[in-house]
Amino acid sequence: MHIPDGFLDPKVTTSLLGAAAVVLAFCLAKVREAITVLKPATVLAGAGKIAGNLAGSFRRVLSFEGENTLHKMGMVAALIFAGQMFNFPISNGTSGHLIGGVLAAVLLGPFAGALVIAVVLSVQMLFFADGGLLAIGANIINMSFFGTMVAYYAYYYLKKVMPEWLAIMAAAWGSVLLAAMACALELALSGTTTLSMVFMAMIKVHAIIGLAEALITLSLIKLFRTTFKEAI
Amino acid sequence: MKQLLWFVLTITVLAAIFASNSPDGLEYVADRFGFSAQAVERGAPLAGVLAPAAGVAGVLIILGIFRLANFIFKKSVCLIILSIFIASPIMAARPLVTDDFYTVAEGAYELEIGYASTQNQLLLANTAALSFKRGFSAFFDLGFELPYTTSIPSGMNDAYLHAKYRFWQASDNEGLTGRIDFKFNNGNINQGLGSGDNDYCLMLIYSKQYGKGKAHFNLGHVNVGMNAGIQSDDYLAYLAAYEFPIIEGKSDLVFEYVANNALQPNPAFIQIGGRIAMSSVLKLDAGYSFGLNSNSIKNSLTYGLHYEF
Repeated sequence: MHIPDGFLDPKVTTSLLGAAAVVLAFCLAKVREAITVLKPATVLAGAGKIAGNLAGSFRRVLSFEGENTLHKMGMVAALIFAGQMFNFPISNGTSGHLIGGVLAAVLLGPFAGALVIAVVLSVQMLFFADGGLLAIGANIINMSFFGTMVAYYAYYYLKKVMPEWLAIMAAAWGSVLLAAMACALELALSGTTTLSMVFMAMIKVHAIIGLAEALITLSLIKLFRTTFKEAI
Repeated sequence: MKQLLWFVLTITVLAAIFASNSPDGLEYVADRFGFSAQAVERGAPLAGVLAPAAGVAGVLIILGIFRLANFIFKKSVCLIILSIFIASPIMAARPLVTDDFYTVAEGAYELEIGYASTQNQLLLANTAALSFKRGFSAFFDLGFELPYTTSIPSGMNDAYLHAKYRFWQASDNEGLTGRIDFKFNNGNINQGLGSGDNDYCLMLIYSKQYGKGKAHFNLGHVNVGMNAGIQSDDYLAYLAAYEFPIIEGKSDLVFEYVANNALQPNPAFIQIGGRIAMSSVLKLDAGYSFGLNSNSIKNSLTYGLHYEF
């Protein structure tokens, strides 16, 4: 579901680039808060000596747990990257691939998850020509914001009323639909096509892709919680 | 972790081999509604590369990005360490950071002025500091320290108040002293000066003569952030120093080891320095310190004077 350049018009492209920047900055702030500890820099110099705090902005220190979290984020990102490469065939000559938003969000939380997906999308865009340079804003909003952050809250509230495995599957399926709807809306707003035509078509094809997303997400989460429990 | 990496690489290669070439959901819709031709085709470094190889390269790029993030966050750690160790200039026995068990004689004053130039991988920081003490009894002195940073941003840093009480003395050269340091949050935190919180430190100081020289051992508990709103993160400071006279009463060589357990691995540095007595009351000193691990300063040069009256 990587939108290439040319599908969206400049006004949609630029406003989504701005929106993506805001979302990522927010996520980065949240993640930074989580992986660092506040270390008042004027810790007495080993002896209760004068210790000048040089820069107030450098008062956060990467914690031991934070370092592990970064490793974990890297591993999950690599796995999702691999997963997104696998285009599985669905009906009538069409294929689908994993988005991995719910996978990332359940394993890492909504903010780290959204960052991970954004990193994967950026690498695909820069190195693999997968998704447009300018359309990266739209892709981040669709898959990183709607497909990860928003889907995480769906999972979070669904978990309270149903077993967790069902909540994961429902959220994963919903995340693909949500991203597809956002994508259809952006295409329609750009005047590329009309909403009435593209909306149902996108939903129909992604409802099937979403089923695979749900199954893959659930099995990978299970795998992470059992086999790779120590690694993560 | 290794196991997981192999799993990811295996998945990547398999995914690359078995991936379907059919259009994905969006491409299918674009084809159907006739706007797929609008897509701008462009190249990319790994776009045409054999899929499994490109996939493995992509995985490595992604892991590299998170490595880099780790490194960048670590870098900001360096700055903190720097400020942990910056400006250790002023204490009873300059250039040592380690304290000795002596207190300033009753009614006497002690003034120390020091300058430290401290470097780590990122920046050089210069700090001048002034310490003033008065002996209020044979066992008790009280003093304060005012540090001034001349780096950018420059200005006053957090000030310290010290109270030192000698409660046991076996001889002229052996004894036990307790010290309390209190740090005020008078620095301008918006300018990056000071930490914005009050700290206190309880220090136990033991000195003893070994051979010609004197050894000093300090063990302290530092309480960070007494005031509300700042996360408290206490740690232990441990220091050892050895002073060796080259010419009795005229000049000394000093060595010391300073460390604390605020971070892992423990920030630690070694200082080598010397002191020359210009008169019975005035001493000049200089010292060079170097860090022992990535959490420590890279190196630091300090010089100053010690005056008693």
